[in-house]
Amino acid sequence: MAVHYYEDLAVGDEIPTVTQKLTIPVMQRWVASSETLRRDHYDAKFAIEHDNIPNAVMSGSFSQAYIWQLLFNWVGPDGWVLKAFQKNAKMVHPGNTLTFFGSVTDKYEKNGLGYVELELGLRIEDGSVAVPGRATVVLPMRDGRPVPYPFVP
Amino acid sequence: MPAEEIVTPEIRAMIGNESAPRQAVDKVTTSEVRRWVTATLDDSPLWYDQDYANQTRFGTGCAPGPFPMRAVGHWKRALGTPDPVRELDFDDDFRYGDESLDDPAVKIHWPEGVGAFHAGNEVEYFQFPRVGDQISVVEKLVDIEEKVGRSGKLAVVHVDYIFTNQDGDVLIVNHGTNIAREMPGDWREKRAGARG
Repeated sequence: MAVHYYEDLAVGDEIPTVTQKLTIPVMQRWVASSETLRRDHYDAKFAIEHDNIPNAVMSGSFSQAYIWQLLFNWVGPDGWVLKAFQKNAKMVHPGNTLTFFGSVTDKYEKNGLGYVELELGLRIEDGSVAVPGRATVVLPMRDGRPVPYPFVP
Repeated sequence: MPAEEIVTPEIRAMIGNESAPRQAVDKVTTSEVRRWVTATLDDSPLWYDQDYANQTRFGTGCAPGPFPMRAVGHWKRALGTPDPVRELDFDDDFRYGDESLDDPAVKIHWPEGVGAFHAGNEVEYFQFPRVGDQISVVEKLVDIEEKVGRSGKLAVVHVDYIFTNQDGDVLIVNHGTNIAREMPGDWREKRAGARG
C-alpha cells in the first residue's frame, strides 16, 4: 500500500514486507529482459563447475531493479524515489526466499517537501541480509506543494 | 607475486577522464518496457494502464527508473555489427559482455594479479525514460582512493554513469564503487566479476 504524506511516517516505522521465491525461471526472465548473458546468473552447472559457487546467483542489477520497484510502489505515485543504494553482501541463489524489508531511519523537511531516509534490503530465509541498502524518498506534505516531476533537488 | 602498487601513475592519471557518449542500440519501446516490468515482478499500473498513468504527474509511456542502466550496455548488439556470442566455445563465459565496446579513456588496466570487484552503487533518479527516448550514457572516472585493508593494498574506484535522453535531460546518475585488490594466484581461472 502506498504512502501518501510525509506526516504519515515516523522514525522507526517499517515498510510492509514483500516475499518472493527466487527460481531459475524468475532469474532467467531477468537475464532475457536485460540481455546480460554471464552464465552464473542462469546456468547452475556452469556456476558450480566453473565458478566454484554453490549454485547460479542472482544478478546484482536484478536485485537493484527489484528493490527499486518495491520501493517505488510503496512510495506511490505522489512521491519519488530520489536515491537508492545497495550492496551485494551475500550471494542469493535459486531456492532462496527473498523478503524485502525496510524502516524509516530519519525524516526532515526541505523546501516544502518531506524527505525520508530508509534502511532496507533483501533478507533470505536464514535471517541474513543478503542485499543491504538504504534509500532517500520524497513525499508531499499535507497542505504542501506536490513533489515536482522531473525531480531536480 | 604481489603487485608492487595497485594504482600505477598511468591509472592515477586517468582520474577525471570521461568516456564518449554511448547510445543505446534501440530507442525505448513498449515491448522492452513490458519485458522489464514483467522480469522485475512489478505490478504498478503506471506501466500499462493509460487511464491510471494519465491521472499521475508522470503520464503515459514511462519506463521504470533503473531501466537506462540496462538499455545501454555491453550485452545489446546492434544489428549489422560483429557478434562475439557466435565465437564462444562450449565452456566460455560472456561475463563482461562485448568488451570491444569499452572506451579506453575509462577502461582501467590493473597490474598483473590485481582483480576488480563491484562493491555497490548509489543511484540518483531524476525522471523516467519514455517510450521513444534515445538513451545515452557517459562514464566518468571520478576518483581512486588508495587504502590498505586486512588483505593488503587496495584501491576504491568511484565511477559515475550519467544517463541522458535525446534532449540531454539527465534521467539518472549511477554512482558506482569498485574495489581493486591483489588476488590469489588462480583467481582468474576461478572467479571474476566486476559487472553484472
